[in-house]
Amino acid sequence: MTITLTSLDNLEFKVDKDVAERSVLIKNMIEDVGESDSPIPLPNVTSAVLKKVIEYCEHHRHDPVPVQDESDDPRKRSNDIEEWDMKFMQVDQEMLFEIILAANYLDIKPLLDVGCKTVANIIKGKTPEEIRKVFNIVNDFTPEEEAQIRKENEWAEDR
Amino acid sequence: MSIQRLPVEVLGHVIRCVAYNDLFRCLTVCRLWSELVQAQLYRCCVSAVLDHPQLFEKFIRNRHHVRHITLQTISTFDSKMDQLTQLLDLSRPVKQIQSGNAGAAVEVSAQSVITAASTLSLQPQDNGSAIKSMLVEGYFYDFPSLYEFLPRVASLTRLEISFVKPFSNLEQIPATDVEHLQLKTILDSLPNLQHLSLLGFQFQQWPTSPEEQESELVRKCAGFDHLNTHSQKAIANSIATTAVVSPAVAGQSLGVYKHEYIPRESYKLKSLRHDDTLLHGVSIEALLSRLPNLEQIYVTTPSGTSSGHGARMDPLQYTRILQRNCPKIKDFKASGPWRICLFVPKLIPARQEGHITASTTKTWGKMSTYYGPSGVPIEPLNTWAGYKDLVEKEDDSIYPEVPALPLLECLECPGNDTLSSEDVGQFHRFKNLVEIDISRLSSYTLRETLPYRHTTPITGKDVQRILEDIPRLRVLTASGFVISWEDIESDDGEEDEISQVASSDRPVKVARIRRWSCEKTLEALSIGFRLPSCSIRQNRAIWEQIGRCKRLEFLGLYGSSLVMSLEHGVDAILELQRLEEIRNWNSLFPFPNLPALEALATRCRALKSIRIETVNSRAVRQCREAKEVLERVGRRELWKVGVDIN
Repeated sequence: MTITLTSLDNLEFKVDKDVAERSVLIKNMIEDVGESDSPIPLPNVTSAVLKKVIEYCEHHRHDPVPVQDESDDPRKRSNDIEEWDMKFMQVDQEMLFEIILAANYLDIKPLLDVGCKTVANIIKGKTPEEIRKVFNIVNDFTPEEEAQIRKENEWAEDR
Repeated sequence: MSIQRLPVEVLGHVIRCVAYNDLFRCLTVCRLWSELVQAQLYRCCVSAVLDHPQLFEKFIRNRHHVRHITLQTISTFDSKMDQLTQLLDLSRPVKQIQSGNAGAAVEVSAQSVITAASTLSLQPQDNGSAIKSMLVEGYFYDFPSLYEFLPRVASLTRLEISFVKPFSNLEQIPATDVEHLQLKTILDSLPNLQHLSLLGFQFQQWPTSPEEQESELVRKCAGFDHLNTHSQKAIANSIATTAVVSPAVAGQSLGVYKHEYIPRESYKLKSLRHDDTLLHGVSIEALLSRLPNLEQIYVTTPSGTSSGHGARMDPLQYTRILQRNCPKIKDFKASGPWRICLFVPKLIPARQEGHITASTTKTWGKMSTYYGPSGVPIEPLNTWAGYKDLVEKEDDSIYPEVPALPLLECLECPGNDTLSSEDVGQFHRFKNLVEIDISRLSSYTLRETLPYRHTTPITGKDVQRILEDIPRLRVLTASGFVISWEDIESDDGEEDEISQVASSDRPVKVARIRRWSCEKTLEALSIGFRLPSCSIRQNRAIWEQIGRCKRLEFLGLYGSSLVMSLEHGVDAILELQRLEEIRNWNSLFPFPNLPALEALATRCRALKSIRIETVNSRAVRQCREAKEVLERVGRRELWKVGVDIN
């Protein structure tokens, strides 16, 4: 069964039902609406991003569905990204964040995980100044506050 | 676009993926990041933190970030309980919302909460705590009253308390009320609870209403509706003496077999772990009938101990109660010698007719004795003893078995030894079973001697059958079992296959084996293989089979002579791109072939650990050589050696 998805810029994408249902949001929409041919609108996702998301879902269509376990919420490792996923995520920063936002909106947990791990890998090994530079972040600390925070948490430094 | 576009919770997700040694540097990037990083740093509070006063103080200041507490007290004199009290801030008064007066919050001091606890079912309320999980293990002679700290942690989704009783010579330490728990109070005050594990406690009776007691009575009689009135009355009388209702009520209720008491309250609880002390004080039915969402059950029965409370709950009854009340069970774990019943007989069908007389017995939980048509006493099919009795008569057609927990996905019973070869042969009847752990912890097994047909012990042949017959299997842990060549060789009389092997210039003959249907899905395997010789023909067949399990992440080969032929098989497993860990090769010869080791280290990029457990001195020497090889290819971190427990 094919599902039609419409992006922000009104482009239509036809995907198989099991691929579309990797997104929990879409899965719930399908369940609510029932069997229908009308396209599902995704006003928060542009076509370029939606294309990438569909590519991911198609590659991972046979993966076991991740179990929702709210209680554990463990720390994630960022060094266990599959090779295909790593290549998939070799995009510019803008697209990376768009993919993460889309994965969050569409509720595709594995894609969200991979996106966040990719960002974590960018952060790896960088000093605070370098991090600010890469992501264009403004430092809103005064030097005293900065020193205070560091002193307070210096036990975490040499872990 | 910048990272500022990400919503806070997504940024929090990113921070959770950042490696620990990078977190400190993220701390001073900007205010938002600082807050998120601190939330991450103080998220988990473990025992080690409590040992360092300065660090502990920091955690107290950042109490609001703490989500997970793990406490293990090793010694009886160092129980860390007052630190736990500080962490949970028990001295702060609790806000409690009175029912019927919605909107008005009343400040109640902790003291009055304790006194009210026995009569009042604590309502969940907002007290600022967001703690998600608490794991506490140790000696709790000064544990704060449970009723005192439960309101503080209403947000808990996971609670695990393991109470180790102090030694008898420390009896002067006063016992607190913590020992005798009222499960209902715990479940009522923790509405979000999904995982509960309570070990080492005594439990009070679950409070049941008269309707519930009556209904339980009816259930005990279930299956006897084909009997004549006289027999029914007799049964009612006998059961009435062991229950608390009068014979009149019992007789009345027998006329209404469809009457089923469905408790009004049910809890969200998904996972329950308990030990056999739970099986005594509480009516298991009363508890489990309120846990319809239960997906995971874990029973711990310490081996060799007699809990001194009389017979443990009959395992067949326990399974039936699970079957009736918890339809969603996916995960069944049992440790200790608890007899696992996965298949239960259907209840006595109408054919079991005839005049039945009954006599009463006084033992708790035991049903009356009934006599079959030929005058031979039979036990009813709700007890393990009854089941044994009927099966011994080998009347299988009357008592077909059904899988008790049809949705079962995961079965773990390491060291249990009560499962038999016949049980294992029926595993394929569970359509969703994907994870099995039947490992033997030691070669000496303490088995219940049952005069019963299901006593054939599990052998390597059964393990091979599991691999062949269960197509979606993901995890199989069967360490302690060994598959021998006769178990795996194919008997279809076909010619050997021809294979290219890296260790030989010419193609070699490879024997045919019975293939594993789970090779496409298998992710973890722990088993031993024993082959008669180092012949390439046989060993290569097994290496190739392992190599076909493309999703394999964990390989445990215990006591395997297979390892001796590694050089002939290594190229078959180099394609396993997901292989992360190899454990416990043959402890006598950890690494017979160093080039093979090198190949593994360089080609299997996901490989993180090769772990040997051995104390053999020759092995230790080989270990040194192996470490040098790994050093040369820059993979020194792969090698891990532990001490052989066996």
